[in-house]
Amino acid sequence: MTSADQENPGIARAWGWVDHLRAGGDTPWADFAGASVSRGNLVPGAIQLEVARRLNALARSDAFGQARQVDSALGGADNPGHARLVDQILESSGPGRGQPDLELVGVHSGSRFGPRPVDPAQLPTHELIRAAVGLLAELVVEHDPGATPEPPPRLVRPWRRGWSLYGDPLAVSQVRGTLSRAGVEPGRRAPIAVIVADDLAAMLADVWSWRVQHAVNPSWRWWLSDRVRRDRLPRVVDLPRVAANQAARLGADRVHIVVAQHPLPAVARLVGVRRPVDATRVGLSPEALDLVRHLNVVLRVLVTPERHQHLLDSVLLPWLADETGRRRGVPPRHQDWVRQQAERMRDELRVAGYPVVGDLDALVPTDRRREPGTDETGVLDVALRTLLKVKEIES
Amino acid sequence: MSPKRVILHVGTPKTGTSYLQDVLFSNRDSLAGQGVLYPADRFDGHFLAALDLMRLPWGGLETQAVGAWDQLAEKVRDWQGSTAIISHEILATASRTQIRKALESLGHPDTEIHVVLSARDLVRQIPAEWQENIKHRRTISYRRFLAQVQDPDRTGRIATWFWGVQEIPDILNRWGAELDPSRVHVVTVPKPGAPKTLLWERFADAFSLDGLDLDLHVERANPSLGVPETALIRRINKTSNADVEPGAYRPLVRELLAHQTLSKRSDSPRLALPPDVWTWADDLSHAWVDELRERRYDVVGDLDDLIPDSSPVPFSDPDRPRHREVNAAALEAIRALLLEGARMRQVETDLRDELRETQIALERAYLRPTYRAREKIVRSAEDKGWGRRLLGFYRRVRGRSSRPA
Repeated sequence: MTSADQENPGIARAWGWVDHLRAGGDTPWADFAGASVSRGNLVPGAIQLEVARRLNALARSDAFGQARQVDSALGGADNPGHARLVDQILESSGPGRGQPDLELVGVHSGSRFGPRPVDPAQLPTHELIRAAVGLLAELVVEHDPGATPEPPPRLVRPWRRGWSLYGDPLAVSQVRGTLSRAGVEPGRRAPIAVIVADDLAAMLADVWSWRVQHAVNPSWRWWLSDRVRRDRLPRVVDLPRVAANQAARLGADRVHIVVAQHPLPAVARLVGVRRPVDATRVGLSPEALDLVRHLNVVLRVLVTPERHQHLLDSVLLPWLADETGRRRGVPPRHQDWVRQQAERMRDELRVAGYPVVGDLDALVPTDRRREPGTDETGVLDVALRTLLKVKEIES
Repeated sequence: MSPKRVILHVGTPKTGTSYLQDVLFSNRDSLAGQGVLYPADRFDGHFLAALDLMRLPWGGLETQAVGAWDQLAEKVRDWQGSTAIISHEILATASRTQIRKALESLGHPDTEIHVVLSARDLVRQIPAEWQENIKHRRTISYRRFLAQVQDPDRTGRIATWFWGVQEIPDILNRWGAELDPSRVHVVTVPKPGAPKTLLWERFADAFSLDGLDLDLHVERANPSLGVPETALIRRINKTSNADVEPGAYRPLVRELLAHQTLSKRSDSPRLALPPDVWTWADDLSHAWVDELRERRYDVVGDLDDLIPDSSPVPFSDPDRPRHREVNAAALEAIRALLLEGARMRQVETDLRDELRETQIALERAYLRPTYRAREKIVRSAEDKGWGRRLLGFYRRVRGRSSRPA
C-alpha cells in the first residue's frame, strides 16, 4: 500500500472491490474488507459496481450456473472474457435521466458537493436496470450481423388454396412464420381469409407485446388505460370490422374465424396442410418485454428507426428467445370494459354468420384473477442473464 | 488537423444560453470567415449532439439525434481555423464517462480545450427550473418541487436533473477534472438591474469574440412567465395532458401560449422563493462561492453575482395564485388560441380550394379523347382471360402496379 493509500484507506478499499468484482467476486461492498493499490480518486460509480456484483452473483447462482465450473465461468486470469464484460459495465454510463455517478459510502474523494455517497446494496433496482440497459444497447448495436440476405422469391403454386391471415398479430406472425418455414405458401385457388383469435384479454396483451417488439414502448398499463379511455379497440383485434372488410372482398363464406389458444393446427387444416405442424406457441415473459421497452428507449437515440427494427429482429429478440413466460393480465379496473368489448364482438360475429373453428364464447375472458405486475428485480435478472449470454457468444 | 482551441460551453440553463446560441448560429458564416467554427446546420444542432452523447430521450426528438455528437466532433477536429465553439446547457448533466468520451472525441489532450460554465444565482435559478418543468408538461406543485430540490438524498427525477444541471461546483468537478483550472471559465450572470449588454460582453470575453463583426439582433430567447401565467399553464397541463399529444403541445402550449402570449404579461408578480427556502439557498450559494474562489478558475464577471440580492423579490405563491390574475391570463390564452384556430381554418379553406382546383384539372385531363380511348381498351381487356394476362404482363414489365388500390 502506498502512503497515499494509507492516507485514504477508503480509496484503496474501493479499488480492492473493483479488482474483486473483475475477478468474479460478489461480496457486497458493506462486507468487503480487502484493498488494492489506488489508481486515482475517480473510482467507477456505485451503480455500475453494483451491477457488476449482481452479474457475478447471478453467474454463480444455480439459476444460471447449472453444471458449470463456477470459478472458471467467472473472472480472473482464466477468464478474460468475464473481466472484459465487468470492465465494460464499469466504464458504461446509464443512458437517459437518472442518478448521476455516485460515490461509495466510506470513500472520501475530496469533494463536498455532488450527490451523497451510497451503499450500493441500497440502490433502487431501476437505476441498476438503467445501467445494464445502457451497456446492453451498445452490445446490441455492436452485434449487428449486417443486412440480412433477401429471401429467394417464393414459389407460387397457383393450384393451391390462396389464404391470408388477420387478427391477433403475435399469433398471425407465428403461424405465418411456421407455415412459411414448412414451405406452405398461399396459392391462387379459391382464396380465404383466416382471422386468428383468442380471448380478448390475451389478444390485447399480444397486440401490446407485438408493438413493443416493433420499437413502440408505452407501458402495458398506460397503453391499456389509453385504449379504455378512448373506448376503442386496436384495429387489428376489432374482429367484426376486420371480418367485414374481408367479407366485402371475398364474400362472407370465405372468412373463417379460428378461436384457439394455439391456432396453428386449425389454420393449417384450413389452408390445406395435411401433415402435423408444431402447435406450441410461447411469448416473451413480461419481464423480458419490459427489458425490450427499456432498450427501445436507448436504441431510438443510437440508431435509425429502420436499423432499430433490424436489430430487434436479428439480435435482441434471438438473445431473449429463452425468456418466455405468461402474458400480461388485464388489471381489475379494466376487466369489465374488456368483457363488454369481447361480448360485443362475439355477438356481432355470430350474427354475421362467418364459419368458425372453436367457440366464439371463448372470446370473452373468464379469468378475473389479479395478475401481478412485472417485478423490477426480474427485469434486472433478464438483463444480466442476457449480458452473460452475450459474453458466451463472444468467447 | 484540429483547431488551435475548442471552447465547450456546458451550461447552465437559464443563463442567457438561448440568446448566445442564436447569435452564434445566425452569425456562423461570418464567424467561419474570421476563423471561428460554430458547427451547426440547424439552430438546435448542439442540443441534438448532447442528446446523442448522453443517450437522452427527449419527447421523440432523440430520433433526429442519431450520430449527431460524432458528426459534430468530426467537424471540430477537421476545422483548421483558430477556434471551434460548442454550446449547450444540458451538457452540464453529463457523467464522467460521457465527458471523457466528449473530450477525447474533440482531440483531448492534444487539443487545447476550454470549458465555459455560465452561472446565475440559485435564488433565481430554482423558480426558473420549476417554470421550465411546467413548460415541459409537468404538473408538480411549486411546494413539492421545492421539497424535492431540498431533499438531501436527491433520489427523485426532478432533484436528480436539477442538481445535475445546476450544482456549479459539482458540474465543474466533472467537466474540469482533466483540465487545468486556467482552462475552466465561469461566466457570471449580472445581478438584476445591470446594463442589458453586460452579459453579452462577458460571453464575448469568455469566447474571445471581442472585436469580431457580429449581428447581435436575433429573435430567439427563452422568456420567463409570471406567477399567474405559470399557474395557468400548470392547470392546462393537468386538464389536457392525457389528450394533447407532445407534438401538438410544443407548438400550441409551449410556443404559442407560454412564449408568444403569456410571457408578454410583464406586470404580474414574478416567481420567487418563499422566505425559508430563500435562506437555505442563500447559505448554499455562499458555500459554492467559497469553494469556487479556492479552485482558481478563470472568472468572467464577479463571483459575488452568485450571492442572492439581500432584498428578495416578494413571494407570491403560485400554488395559490389570485383567481383574478389567472382569469386575466386565461382570457389572453383563449384569445391567442382563437386567433390561431381562425388562422388554421383559413389555411384549411385555402387548401380545400387548391384541392378542388386540382380535382377539376384532373377531371379535364380524364375527358381528353386519348384517355377515354385507353380506358375503353383496358376495360375491354379486363373482361377477357387473354386480356388480363396481357395486362398483367404489361404491369410487370412496367415495374409497378397501376391497378386501383
